Amino acid sequence: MSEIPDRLNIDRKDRELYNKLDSEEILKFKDNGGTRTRKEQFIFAMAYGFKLESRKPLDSMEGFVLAKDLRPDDEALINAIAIYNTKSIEILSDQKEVFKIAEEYAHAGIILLDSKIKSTSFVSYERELEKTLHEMFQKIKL
Amino acid sequence: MNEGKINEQILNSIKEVSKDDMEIENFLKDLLFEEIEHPGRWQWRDIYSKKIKEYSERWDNNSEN
Amino acid sequence: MRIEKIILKNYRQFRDVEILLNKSLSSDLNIFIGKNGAGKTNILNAINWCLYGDEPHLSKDSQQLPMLNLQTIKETIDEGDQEVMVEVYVKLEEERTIIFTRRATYRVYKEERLPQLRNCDFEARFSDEKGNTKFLQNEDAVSLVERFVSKDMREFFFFDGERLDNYFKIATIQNISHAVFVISQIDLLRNKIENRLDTVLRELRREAGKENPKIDEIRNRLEEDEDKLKDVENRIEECKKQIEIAKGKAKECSDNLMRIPDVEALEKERERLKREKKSKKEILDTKKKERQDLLFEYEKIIFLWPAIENSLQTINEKKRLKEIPPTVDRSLLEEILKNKVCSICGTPLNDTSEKRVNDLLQNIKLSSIISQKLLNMENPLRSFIEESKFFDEKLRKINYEITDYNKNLERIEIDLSEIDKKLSGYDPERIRRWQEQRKEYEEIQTKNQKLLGQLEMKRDELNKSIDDLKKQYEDELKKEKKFELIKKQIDFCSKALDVAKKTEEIILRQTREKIESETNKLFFNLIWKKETFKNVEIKPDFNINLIHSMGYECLGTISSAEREVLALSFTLALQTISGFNSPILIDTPVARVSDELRTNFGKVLLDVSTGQQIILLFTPSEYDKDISKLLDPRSSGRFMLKLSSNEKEVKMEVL
Repeated sequence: MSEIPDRLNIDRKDRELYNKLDSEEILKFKDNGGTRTRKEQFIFAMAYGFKLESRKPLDSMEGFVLAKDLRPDDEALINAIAIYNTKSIEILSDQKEVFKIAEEYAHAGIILLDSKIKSTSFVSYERELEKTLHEMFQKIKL
Repeated sequence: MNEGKINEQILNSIKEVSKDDMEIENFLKDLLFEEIEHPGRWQWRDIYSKKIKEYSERWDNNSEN
Repeated sequence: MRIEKIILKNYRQFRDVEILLNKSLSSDLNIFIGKNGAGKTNILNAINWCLYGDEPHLSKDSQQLPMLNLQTIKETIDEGDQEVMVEVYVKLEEERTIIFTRRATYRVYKEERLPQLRNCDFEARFSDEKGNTKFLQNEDAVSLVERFVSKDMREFFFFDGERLDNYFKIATIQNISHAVFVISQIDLLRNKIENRLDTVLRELRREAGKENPKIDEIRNRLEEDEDKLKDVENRIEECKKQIEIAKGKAKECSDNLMRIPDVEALEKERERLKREKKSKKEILDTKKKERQDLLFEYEKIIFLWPAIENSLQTINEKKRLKEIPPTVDRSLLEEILKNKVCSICGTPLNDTSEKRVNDLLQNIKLSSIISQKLLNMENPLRSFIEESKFFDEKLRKINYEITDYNKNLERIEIDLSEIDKKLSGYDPERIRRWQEQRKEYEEIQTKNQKLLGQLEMKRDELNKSIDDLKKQYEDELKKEKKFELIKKQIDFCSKALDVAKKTEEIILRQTREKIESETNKLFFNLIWKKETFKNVEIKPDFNINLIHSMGYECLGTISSAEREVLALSFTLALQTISGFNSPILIDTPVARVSDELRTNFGKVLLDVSTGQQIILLFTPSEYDKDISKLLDPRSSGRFMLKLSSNEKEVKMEVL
């Protein structure tokens, strides 16, 4: 069995992008007047990357989220992504790989998210998100 | 020419208030006509005094109440 | 009486103009249309100048200009003389025409000086019963004019629309009492006959006094008291006037103060609204945060839906296949095989048991780690699926609540801005001043009321004293036979004076009542809203009031048009009562009347024109489609005034 990683990493360059999330109230870091933790931000970015089917290998590594801070539903989502991506449950035995997949989705996700936010400067990102979620939800319901 | 109108009401009221005192009534009506005939400056004192003398001579004091 | 023709030569804009004012069988209405500055008002001025020698309606511009026509001035040689002439042809009821002509000769100077007036004369000419032409000059001609429309009365006949509108603002008690006074010819009685009789009476008494010092002494005291009485009566009049003025001004202040908002109540309301706004805003912010959290939470569920669904399907399948939960721990079996000893009971494996363990191992597909992880994933993933069902509903609910709170806040903002608007005109300094002024005027009223009481008491005292002195005087006169004649004259003169004064009172009262009655008749005939008003009142103190059908005075609150109708009715009543039947000339009659009432007022004028000559001067914008449609068919003459391009001359076009 591979070693069990104790953290989720981000690319060093992504630190700034996570900081820029403060420009949107819905994504603001709790230490800067908002309510989101780094873990929540990470998962948000990861889900966004997944939605856009984009993974990007990290060029550098920087610890961002401690594994011990992950709760069962966080882990469930991370595992689900890994299973979906590899189309096999065997991936679950390789925690390092599971995390790597999550990290790469998050890496792509944060870059794309930053770009998205910049492009919706006249409409709040929140409005955009609401619209997108509503549309996707209609498809899910069917 | 006497184109001016005398307010008939004044004439009627003079008659009414005079209460059958013909001299007073006629005296005042006379003065009214004089005034209308002489709208500007005129020798009113003489005319007034003259008429007072005239009418008062004929006037019967006892008719006053 | 009507004006048949007006000839103007060199009078202001009118260089050489003849105006024929015809009348038709049904009406006597002539209409002049011209822009401001084209000379309309100067027609009114021309008539006034001809008849009375002055121009009471000169515009500021015209006041700067000479009366002599500018084009004529331009064409005249230096120091040449030119004549201004206005001739007014007046037709009397008895078919006789009098021509009033006023001429003024001006010397023109080419340098910058205004033309100088050299000579002015006024003449009236007419044919007598025998057909001979008679001429009256200057003062005699003036007396003739006085008989038709006396100068005192002309403001009630020749006037501009603005005056009509301001009638009851400008025409105070004094003006109305003046009108009544003049119309009733009380002027003759009071200012001539009574004054003169009084003078002669005093002279007669003085004469008697010369013969007898006692009589003279009594006479002196009598005259003194009579003079004092006159003075007290004047002061009483003045006092009453001051009370009236102070009352009016106090009312003005009260009216102003009534219009200010109830500041305290509004401020309280404003505070309440601000508190409500704050609390609603806080709730709104909370709701908005809720929505953000909702969206944030659901983002991962909805975006990761395929992965979630996929994993759950896998877990279900594995469960169905009984691969999870594992019945035996795989790693335990591997350990047993490795050690060839059973980890549970410690028995070494033989071939059979080893084969059995191998078979078991073959059957276990999943590692315990994976199985465990899958099992751990199951509940959270099922929760996500379950939660997702409510996304739409939750979002809709929170959006609805947010919209609702937004609407509430909007309403509060509107209410607040309304309050602010009401309070914005609120100037505490001005209000304080009005309150102070009102107090002052009320004090003036009180002071004068007190003074009035004292003066009236004094008047009664003096009257009594005068009566006593008169009696004493008479008794003294009676004592001596030589005074018999003069006493008779004095008595006669006294009585005549008494009768004259009483007559005056009666006439004034009757005239006032007649004017009131006639005004009512005319007003209710002319006004379009007949049920709104009850009656017009002219009080003994000559205060005019319009009483609403609900019983209160409403002169101050009626529309411009209604006020003009009342003014017109009053004027016509004055005409009827005075017996002066004179043309009515109105400059810009409907300029101050609002659109929808213009035709109403036009109909009124039309109505009046059936009974007497009406001359109306309109601006083109006043004489709009509606007025024109109404008046054109019934007018006996219509004229357009056009100013020449050099603005020095007006041409008149008959329409």
